[in-house]
Amino acid sequence: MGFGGSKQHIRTVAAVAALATLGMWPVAGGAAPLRRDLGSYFIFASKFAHVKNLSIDNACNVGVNCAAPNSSSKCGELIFDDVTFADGSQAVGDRTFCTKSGVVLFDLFRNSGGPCNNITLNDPPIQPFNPTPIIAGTCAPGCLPDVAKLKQLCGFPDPFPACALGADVRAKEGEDCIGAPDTVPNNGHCDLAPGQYGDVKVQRSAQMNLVAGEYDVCSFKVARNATVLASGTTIAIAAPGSFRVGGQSKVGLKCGDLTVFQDGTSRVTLGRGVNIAAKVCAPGAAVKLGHGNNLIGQFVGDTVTANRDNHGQCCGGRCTCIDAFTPTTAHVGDVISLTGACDLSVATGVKICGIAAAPPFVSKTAGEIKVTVPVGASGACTIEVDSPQGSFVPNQKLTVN
Amino acid sequence: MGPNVIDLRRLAWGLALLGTLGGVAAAAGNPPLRRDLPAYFIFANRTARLKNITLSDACNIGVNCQRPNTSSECGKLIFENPTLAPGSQAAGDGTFFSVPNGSVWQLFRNNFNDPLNGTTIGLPGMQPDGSDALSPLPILANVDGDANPSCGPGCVVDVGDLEAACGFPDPFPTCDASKPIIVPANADCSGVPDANPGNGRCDLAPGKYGDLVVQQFGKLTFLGGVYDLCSVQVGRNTSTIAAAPSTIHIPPPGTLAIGNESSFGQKCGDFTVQVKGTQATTFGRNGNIAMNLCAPSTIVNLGHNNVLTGQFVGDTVNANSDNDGHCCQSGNCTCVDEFRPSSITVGGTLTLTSSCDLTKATEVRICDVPAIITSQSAGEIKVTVPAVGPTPATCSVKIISSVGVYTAAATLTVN
Repeated sequence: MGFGGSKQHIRTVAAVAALATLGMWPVAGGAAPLRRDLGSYFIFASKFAHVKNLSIDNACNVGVNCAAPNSSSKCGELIFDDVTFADGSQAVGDRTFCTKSGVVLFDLFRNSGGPCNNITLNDPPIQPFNPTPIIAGTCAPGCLPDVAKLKQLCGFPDPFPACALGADVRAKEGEDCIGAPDTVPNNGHCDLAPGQYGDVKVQRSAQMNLVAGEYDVCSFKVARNATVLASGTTIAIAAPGSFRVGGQSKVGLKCGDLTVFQDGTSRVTLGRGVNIAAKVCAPGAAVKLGHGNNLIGQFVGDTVTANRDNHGQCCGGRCTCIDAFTPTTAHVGDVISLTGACDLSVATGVKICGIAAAPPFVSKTAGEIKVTVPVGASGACTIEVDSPQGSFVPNQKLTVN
Repeated sequence: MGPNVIDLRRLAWGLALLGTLGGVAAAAGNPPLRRDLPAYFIFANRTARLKNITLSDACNIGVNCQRPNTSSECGKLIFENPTLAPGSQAAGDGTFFSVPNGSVWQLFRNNFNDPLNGTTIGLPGMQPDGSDALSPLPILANVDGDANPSCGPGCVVDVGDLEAACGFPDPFPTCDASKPIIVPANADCSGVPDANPGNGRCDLAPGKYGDLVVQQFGKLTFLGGVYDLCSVQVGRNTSTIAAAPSTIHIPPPGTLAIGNESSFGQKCGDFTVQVKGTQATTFGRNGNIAMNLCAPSTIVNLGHNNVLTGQFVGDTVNANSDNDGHCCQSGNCTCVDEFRPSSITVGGTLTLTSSCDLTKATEVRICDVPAIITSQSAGEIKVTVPAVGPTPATCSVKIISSVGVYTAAATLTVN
């Protein structure tokens, strides 16, 4: 039952799945271990998740963190309808239920739940979810999540910034920002600089453009058919504010565009037909992922529910590489730009001639990082781009004069 | 003439990659138009009409032919309020913006006196409106090497060039009309063998078939390989995935149609669909479609409010409102997120996975010994572990692409 079958050897587990409900499976010799870092998760719920017929299009995880305190509790439950998860993905929940046929999973970790019959499990067998929780020390027995720890793992600013109550901003269709200066006036969009604001509302059919930096707000609401563009942007929503996106709206375009930290317990809500690319971390909140949405990024909540027909993609893996850098000749202290189609936001450092650039980055986005040529680099230098999973060395050398 | 908004929105997009304050001076260093077909998210030989499309990645939208005259529809690229990501390029001899407040990155057009209608250009060019000239035309070279350009004077298209650029087999395969396939709701294949019966979906082996019909709520898995189909008709609320990269050939007069609320493919590299005939290809509403579609003789209707991943090539390409586009990675480097198992014997199969495009890998080395690649797709590579000398050995795992070498932090134990 070990790992290694080709995709032509897709195996169903109908006959054996019931045994797994006993939680007695050993981890197979070649089977993948459960990924337990938050960054691997597309959906991470502390207590409960129900994701209907969600399709996940790349290798990432969906998990419920806490163990069920007892068999009648909803805490610890992960409920699937007819989901379709891509190869390399992992689903994990103490009590995982498959309510419909046609399910396609890759790795499944669970200890109990109803029978998962007639599913396609592309990396069998079902494995036990042991130990619980997914991330050590984040959910105590009795289903008690450590919200503060999860906020820390998400990268919440500490202390969490206050918003500017009353300094509300509105984006109205075809108009500049209302209630705050517009950095690019007269273009029919609200171009908002980073800073402290009150309630931010993007009205129906309006467009708001956000740039790299932090927006500390009391709430952030996007109405129907609206657009929010961002790049390297963080929105920090102070309690009791909420993050809401209306139907047919677009928020962010791609990985790395937007991070949303929602403090407090207000519900996060996405409507229907939404396209969103964001990392949304609201560990104290119920996160409602809506219906017919295209979801790129990560969604962390106390509970997470998704109505039908949602598609999910998590952002970049944990490795990265570069396609090119410019200039190819530089002096110590010059800034060089490294670009790549893989997600460069996961880069942890760059070495030039074996010397780490310090600070590690002048700037970093999904598509480009900039570093300063460090003191000591000289001659034809190898460039090394490091990420948690490895290092990439381009063929081309940087000449440092 | 409407306002020409040549602004500094590159800063607003958070890039600031040029280190300049914009204006015409920036144009001298602007990238030239990409003319290779893989760079294009949408490529139409004659005409493209795209409502408020959003393109999230740095790829191109282009119309190949030159306008024979200003009243001709040929050579026109018509936008309504587009949102095209930084690094993208829009190119059409006559490019028009019919609804205000769109945004593009680089614009190549020759009708620079026509209004931009408030459209912002992220990376302005040398022409008065902020565009760059589109010259020479056609965009696509004479790929098939015959005497005819891909689009000659008078908008005379040589479809062979686009077919060659798409990699159409020659001769184009036939289908087998005697083997129609029906995919009922939540059931195995009907009409042909199911490769994995009893799992509530149709698991289809590669081969030559007739018409493929996916009925409402049907679920279909292409196991991977080449499928020669007479037509593909996908109903509403369906789910079609590829367990491994799958190529679909549809000879004339076959068509491709995908209904509302359906998903077809999940990611880059899942599906390549080549349509030889001239009947329209049509997508519905609210779908999620990932494929490289090449239908160079047809009208391609991309539908409404769909998420479109890959490439869409046609004679004419139309998109209704609210479509979101993602092209597949255009870079050349790659890396590995993880491999497994972590301990293996010589001759065993090692699987490497990544969110970067693994089709860019040219070689995998284990303990610096080249490994034979047994399968390769965008998300996964399988290799056979070579003899690495005395065992057990603690081996590095390297993946090599045309631009560099990636070394995984984890090591592999070879027994």
